[in-house]
Amino acid sequence: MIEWVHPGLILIFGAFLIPLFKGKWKQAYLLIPITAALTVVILMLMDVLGNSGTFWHVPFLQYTLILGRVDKLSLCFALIFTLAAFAMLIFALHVESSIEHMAEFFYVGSALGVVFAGDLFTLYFFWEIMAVASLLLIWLRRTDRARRAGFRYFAWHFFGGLCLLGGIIMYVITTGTIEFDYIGLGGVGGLASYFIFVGFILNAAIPPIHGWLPDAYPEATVTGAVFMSAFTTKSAVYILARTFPGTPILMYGGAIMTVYPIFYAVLENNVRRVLGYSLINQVGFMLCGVGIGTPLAICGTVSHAFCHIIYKGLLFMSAGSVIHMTGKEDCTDLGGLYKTMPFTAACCMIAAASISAFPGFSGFTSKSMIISEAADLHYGIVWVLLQLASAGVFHHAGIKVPYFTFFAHDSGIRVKEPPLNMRIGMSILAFFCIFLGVYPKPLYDILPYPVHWEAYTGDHVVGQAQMLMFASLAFYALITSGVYPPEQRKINLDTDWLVRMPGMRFVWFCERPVIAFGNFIDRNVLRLAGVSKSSPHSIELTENLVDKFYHKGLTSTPRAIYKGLEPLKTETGYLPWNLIYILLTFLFFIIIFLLLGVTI
Amino acid sequence: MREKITDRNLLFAFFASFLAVIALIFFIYWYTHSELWHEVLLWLYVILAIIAYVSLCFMAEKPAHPHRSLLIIIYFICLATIVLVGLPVQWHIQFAWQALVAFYALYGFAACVFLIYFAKGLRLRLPKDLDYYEKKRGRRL
Repeated sequence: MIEWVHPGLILIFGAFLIPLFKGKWKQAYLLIPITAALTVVILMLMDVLGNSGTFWHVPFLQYTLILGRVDKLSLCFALIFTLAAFAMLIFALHVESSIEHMAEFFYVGSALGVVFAGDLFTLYFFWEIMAVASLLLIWLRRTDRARRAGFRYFAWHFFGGLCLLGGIIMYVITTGTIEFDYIGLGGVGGLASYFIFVGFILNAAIPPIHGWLPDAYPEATVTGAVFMSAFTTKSAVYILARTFPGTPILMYGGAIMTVYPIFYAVLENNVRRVLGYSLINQVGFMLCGVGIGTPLAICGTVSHAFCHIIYKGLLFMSAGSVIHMTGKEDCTDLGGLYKTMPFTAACCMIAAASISAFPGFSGFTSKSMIISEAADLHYGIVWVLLQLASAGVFHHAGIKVPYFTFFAHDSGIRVKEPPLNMRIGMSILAFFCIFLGVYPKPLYDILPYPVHWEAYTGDHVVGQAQMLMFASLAFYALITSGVYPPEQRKINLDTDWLVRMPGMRFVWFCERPVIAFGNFIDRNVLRLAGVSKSSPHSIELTENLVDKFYHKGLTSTPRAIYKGLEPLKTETGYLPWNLIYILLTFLFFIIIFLLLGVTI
Repeated sequence: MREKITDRNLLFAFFASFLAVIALIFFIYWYTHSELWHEVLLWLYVILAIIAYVSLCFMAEKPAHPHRSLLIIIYFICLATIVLVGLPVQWHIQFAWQALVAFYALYGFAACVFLIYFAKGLRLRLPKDLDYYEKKRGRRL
């Protein structure tokens, strides 16, 4: 009897079969792995498959990898990851490119791998796959700006990944174990915990290391951005909730993180960049909840992450549909679209109402937990900042995004509604936005701690509605009086400057002085070797031998495999098959390591 | 002389009857103090806020919506009702300032005005031309 199946690995291995299918068959196949993963997670929740404990212990060197640590926290995140991925995949069904679907599957699968990881090595492994898969989703836009943004995105995550790797190595050396649970800043791990912390919060996009998010997400493909909005930051929130709950720096950092991006979102012109900033703002609420660290705050964080993935996915979907249909993504070019896209406009408004925690929509039932817990523990400044951010998020995501895209000044663009699969994907998420807002009990039941939370009390509803509606009054008053800053075709300086300017200088430093120095040494060594001239003939013989061995012997095996695979290549060309070749090599190494682990 | 049934009249009639329902249920709740009517009132209140939100999106449109003036009236009636119904609510006081009359309304308004003026201030420094980085890079490398 099967005890437990890893839903992430279903997706990762399922991804390799995608290039074999075409057209309708591909669309049908795409739904199989994700449905299987979703079913597995639901079966786990219903306690048919194991719903607590650790599974899949794999010996690795002298350690044991734990691929499946299952408890209420990881199950909750696994459920929302698979559920959101299901809707997002339906949204992306019209995409022909196999490689894009493979990247999506790898991305979701590795995010699930992070969620179920019970040890630091597994965590790091999936963490890096996630970074690379999301990078592919940016590059597949195939524009020059996307290429540049992708490199910057990779530079940030490379830095974060190195911090994490260094921290993990130090942690393993000091504690002697690769298993982890609560780490805590400066606790058992000492210095190691700070490095691990930096690696985690970089993926959570806390200012000032958030520059990658608003920089890269708007450059990703339409469907890629929808996936990216859900997994990178929320897996970081999950891992922080597990390893660093109750860290004061997260609470204050999270509170600042909710306010900081609001100003940028007001100034920004690109629709998806506005959404990127509001994503940072929402993750700030979650990190604040992690920093408070009480059971209710953690529950608030988890449920907010749950709702957030749904409504943020829906916002990116509606913005993506507009970009897909009109080809324009700036607020200055859009407007008046509700006349021909009423369905997309309605979905966008549902998501916008959810993100601004409008009573009756999903954000309200989750965000109020965090804010109310901050108030109950008398963190006055945090409470004021969070409420300011709540008013602000209504302002920029609740009104600005639907208003400037679908209403405002009529741009004269008349396009049809997006394709059917996009509309189905949007309606699934829109349904959950309203369902969780009206009847949040199913969500509260699966939270990691038992909570008795009543969101719909008189003072919560009235207070929230008053705050939001008077924020909208301020918007109306300022926009009719002309005080509201008009949209401009400009870019705003943010911390991506760090990678763009000093980073470029660093690259220049590596390209020019360092290489010049290396060439200088090479030349002189060669000259010295030339002076000795022991026996030129033997040197030539050795060189030929080395050449034969490396350039012919070692490369002939992969070439033979490649020759065998070549006739099978599909419409997308060689890339998927190269990936299969990488997988084969990878499996080969894994098997060798496993054998080593068993024998030693 | 009988007035024709137009979109505009229909819209207004719907809204007026909705307000009447709220008033009716408010009085029933005031008379009975039962949980159920409180719940119903709460949800009607939520719907009122949603009406205000939707009408805001339409009324600030350019060129002006045909029913703009009516939408503005509806919007402001909603705002007034939201404040008025909120007055007798029992607040759960965690900080002293929450006890102010219509505190949340004032805070939401003030927060947004502050936000926009601060953003206007930032606009003096932050925005750069679209090819800002390309230019800089061209000069250095």
